[in-house]
Amino acid sequence: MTNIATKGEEDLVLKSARLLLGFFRIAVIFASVILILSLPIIAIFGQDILAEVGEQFVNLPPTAVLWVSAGFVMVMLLIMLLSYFTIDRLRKILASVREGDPFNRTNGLRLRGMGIAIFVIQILSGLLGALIGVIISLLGEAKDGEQITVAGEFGLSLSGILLVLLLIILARVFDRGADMRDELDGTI
Amino acid sequence: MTVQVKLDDLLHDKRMTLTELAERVDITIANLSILKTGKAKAIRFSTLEAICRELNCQPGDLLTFEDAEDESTA
Repeated sequence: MTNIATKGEEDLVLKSARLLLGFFRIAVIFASVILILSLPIIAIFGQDILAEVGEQFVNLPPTAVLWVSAGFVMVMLLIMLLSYFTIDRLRKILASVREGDPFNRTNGLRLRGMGIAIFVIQILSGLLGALIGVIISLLGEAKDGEQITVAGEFGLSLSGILLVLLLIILARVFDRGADMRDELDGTI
Repeated sequence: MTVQVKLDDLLHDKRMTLTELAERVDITIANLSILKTGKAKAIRFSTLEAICRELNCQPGDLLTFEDAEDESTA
């Protein structure tokens, strides 16, 4: 009875993970489309946006703000691409668990790829933080004297570094698992 | 591979087919074939015991070590 209950629980976990990853994948695609669309909007309506934003600041912000903003969007797009790559690999690993054969070399490669992708995302996140700093300094002083605050954290984080380490170590574990599996397959 | 599996010779001596042995030792014909053709990476003691019991032989009759250098000079 206990075994059946545990198995049912596992199935629920796998099912929930699959649904969640499916949702994340759609969210990343949606965000990417918005980011792609925002690039021509910045190019066409950039000056109008700048004029409107400029009303809230002491000095009219320079055109460079638009260039930095476009750079920001492109870095965000890169992050979305890497996130999609990571989610897709995780979905494939999940599928291999459902098929009952997760200890193979491909999954080791997938985990290693995910580790590298998340490491690059961490670096790009740091770059985003720097770009936000540049935009804020370019905008200058606000008319109402209020400081501009940015919601969200950018840059390297301890949890991010731990995740990268975890994935790279897990990749090694899966490589060893694949070796053991090969050995077992050849044992009569 | 320097360790040779002499299952074919043993089966011939005992006038037994691979199918018959597979049934007696409860191992699939596919796996016994892998063992017979020398493609197996390892053999379990339980498998070795079962084969030796059914063929009434010693592990040394089933497995022999042939040095690669001896083979080339012979």
